[in-house]
Amino acid sequence: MNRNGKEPNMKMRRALFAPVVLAVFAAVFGGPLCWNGSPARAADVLSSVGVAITGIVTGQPESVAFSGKAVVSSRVLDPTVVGGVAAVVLQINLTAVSGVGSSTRTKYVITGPEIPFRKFVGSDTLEITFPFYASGASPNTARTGVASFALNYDLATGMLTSATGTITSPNF
Amino acid sequence: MSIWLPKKASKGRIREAENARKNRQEIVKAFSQGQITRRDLFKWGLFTVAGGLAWKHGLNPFVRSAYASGNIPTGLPPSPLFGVLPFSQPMPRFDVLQRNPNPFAFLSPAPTKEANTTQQPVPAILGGGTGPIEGRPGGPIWAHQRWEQFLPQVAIEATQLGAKNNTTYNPQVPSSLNSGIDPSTSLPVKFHPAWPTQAPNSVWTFNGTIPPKLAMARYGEPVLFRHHNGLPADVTQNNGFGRHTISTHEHNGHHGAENDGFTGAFFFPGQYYDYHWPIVLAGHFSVNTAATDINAGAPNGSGGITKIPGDWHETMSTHWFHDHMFSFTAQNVYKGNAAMFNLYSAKDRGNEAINDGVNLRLPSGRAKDWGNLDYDVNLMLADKAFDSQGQLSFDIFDTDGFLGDAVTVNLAYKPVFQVERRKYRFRILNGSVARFYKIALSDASPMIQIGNDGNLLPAPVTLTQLDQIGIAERYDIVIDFSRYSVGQSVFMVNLAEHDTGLMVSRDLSLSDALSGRSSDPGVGKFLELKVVRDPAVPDVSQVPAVLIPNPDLSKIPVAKERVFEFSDRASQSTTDPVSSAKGPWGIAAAGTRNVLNADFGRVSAQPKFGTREIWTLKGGRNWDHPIHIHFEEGQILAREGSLANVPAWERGRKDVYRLRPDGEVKLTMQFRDWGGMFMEHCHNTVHEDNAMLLRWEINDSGAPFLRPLPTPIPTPQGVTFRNPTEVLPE
Repeated sequence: MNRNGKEPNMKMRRALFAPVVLAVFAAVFGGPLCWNGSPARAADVLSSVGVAITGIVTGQPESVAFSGKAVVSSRVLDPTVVGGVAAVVLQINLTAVSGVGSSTRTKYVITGPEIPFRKFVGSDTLEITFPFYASGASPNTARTGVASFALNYDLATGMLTSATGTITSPNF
Repeated sequence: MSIWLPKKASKGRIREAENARKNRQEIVKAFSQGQITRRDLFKWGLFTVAGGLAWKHGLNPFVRSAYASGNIPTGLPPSPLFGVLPFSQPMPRFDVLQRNPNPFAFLSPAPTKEANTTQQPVPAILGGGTGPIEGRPGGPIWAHQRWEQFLPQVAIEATQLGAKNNTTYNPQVPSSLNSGIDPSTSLPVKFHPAWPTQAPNSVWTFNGTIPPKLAMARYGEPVLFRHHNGLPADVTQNNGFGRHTISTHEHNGHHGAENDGFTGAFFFPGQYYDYHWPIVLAGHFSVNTAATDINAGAPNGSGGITKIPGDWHETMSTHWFHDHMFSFTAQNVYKGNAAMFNLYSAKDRGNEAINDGVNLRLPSGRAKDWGNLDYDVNLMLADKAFDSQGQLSFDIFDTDGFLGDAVTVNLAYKPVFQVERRKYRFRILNGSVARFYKIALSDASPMIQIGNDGNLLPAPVTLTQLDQIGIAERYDIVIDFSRYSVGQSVFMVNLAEHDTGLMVSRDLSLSDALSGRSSDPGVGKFLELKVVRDPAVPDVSQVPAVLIPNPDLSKIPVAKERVFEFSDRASQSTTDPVSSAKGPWGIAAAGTRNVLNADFGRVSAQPKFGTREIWTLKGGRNWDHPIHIHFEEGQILAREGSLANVPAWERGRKDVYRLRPDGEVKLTMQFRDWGGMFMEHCHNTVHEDNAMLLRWEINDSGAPFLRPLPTPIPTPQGVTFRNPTEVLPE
């Protein structure tokens, strides 16, 4: 029996049709295509920037004003095949950003990170959502904020060169 | 480049794409029916050396069309929706498989330690003569390990069949908790009530019916799963794709290898295979052997706990089982050979009200001692595609990976699930072939991830967007709907956009995913969660701050470190016509950079029984492989060389390791309790079939068997054995 479950003496129906058709395809259209490519950069490009970020998330039980430094890390991946598209794996860490409740002055914390995967372009605008909750409270009580980033890369080196960010309320 | 035609594609381009699809389907059909082999396709130049479909007009959907301009691909014709709008049908809960006590009386013939080789006639189309009634390889090597110690107490029986009406639907919840579905109504195999009924050989499922099946078991209660193969004996009766031989993998059962669904231990129509699932905690023979730890236990049926041996830190919760047929896993799983399996324990009991200091009281229900499904919901995500007649369709010719354009949940196209204003647990399985999902709620509300790959995390993780979930990964999450009002709806949204089956092309923001602008029809809302009422009784379920801490392996010496590299441009070193496959994908093992195609006769690694090892899995830049290692749960030690790169939701135990593009995962595992031959492979099942899979086996288990083990070679007339084709150096 072969790998495809055929016994050598097994009676096959229509056994000749497809091979004939395929052989014609092969004869008419020729041989296989080879992909040959080489990366523009020899290795992944790692970079990281700190982003001063502020903003207010409104809602119940109180509005929360956030401030701190987000850390945006990037790993740019060049394609190794012709026609491939460069990509970037981001890691956005907001754990050094905290909030203060407008009425209770309660401290609010953010967990993370968020790991978006994006196409590599010179400038990218990225919006992520994040959970936050009162420090010491259960994360199960979390609310949602939105962080928007404008990221700029050096297209030649793949390095993340600058970033700005703001925090707003979700409005979906 | 998207594989789908743009919405404004001309009729001419759609016609051309449809013709290309038909041409390819002829080849798929011939391949699936055994008239040609993958080697033939390479020989004839229809597959490129890179494994892709040759760049041939009228065959490849990406060939530049006379009707298109520039680089716009021709693409595939979209699946017909027959005027159906999304979110216009209820989502069915899983169909629970009957549990039968006393397997030795219930099953006929009774299960046996060694395969039952009683002879039966074999259909002429399968070669005639006689063959064994059980397809499990015969003899002592494939006998159920520790059979007498773990005699089955529960029998679960299912038959793989072509599509037929479901007249015995058993969701184990009332209609009110199943979006109003009346289980007594006969359910045809349709992905939407307004779509055509699937032909018997378009869909092959457990018992031939939908919804997908759910098995339920508790620790300490060995299960005998008898799987009958009721598929057509004629391999050509498959509506163009799918192979009638099957091997059923309980992913990621901690069982002996004879019950693992080894890719080369497949069985034929007319046969059955008895899978013995002892359901023990890992470390059964080395940790807590006197069964004194109250955390290591199982529900006793009356509110208490039956203590069992083993390490309770290895407790598992959410499994699935699916076909693992060599070279045909993608086709068969896609065609319907996929089910889920909930495991219940003292910690994860499926009862939210029992407050014994052990039970975590996760959302579930309270009427039964264990296994309440009221608020514990299995979700199987799978993208499908349909031909012009609305029949399920598949295309093997993109070895990057097959993507469908219709997202289904529990085999229902974009359904609605009714919920109460309380907490729910969702056990999410990515049951797709090549599609990744990244899930958010449409209002960006938080979700609490409690489990990864069927294992409860050490601590819950609150997220507004889940990480990408790769094929075969399972994320258990809790959503609290008490924040919504009755009448409100919130949607699950997929943010992960694909251009090809290789990997996600980009993660979209929630705004972009909701905008409808993506060229990928898999992006956007896929499940409506509609709040219909307040709960009748207060929600007493909890999400504790501590779930199941990881087992501490730090004091166990590392016996060996291994590196596996997953790559394309593989070569094949063997030529066995049964066990050796050919394709673009492969794995380098044994300390070499030699990327080899799959051969289930080749032994690529032999960890020693009772030891701990560290394995490093390396990916590549142009793809993302979800790598599944059978049998043992692992802990990720590092990503890209650092523990800091391992997010909180991956700090539990796992069995599928998503490498990420150009990523590297270092993990550690123990090899305990059971022996035999297992597998490691990419769970993008197109990659797996083409041929990114290897066999490893546990050496020196104490069993008096030859090492390495002989390779089973199934035929309808019986299973023979061969020596391994190759044994890579340790």
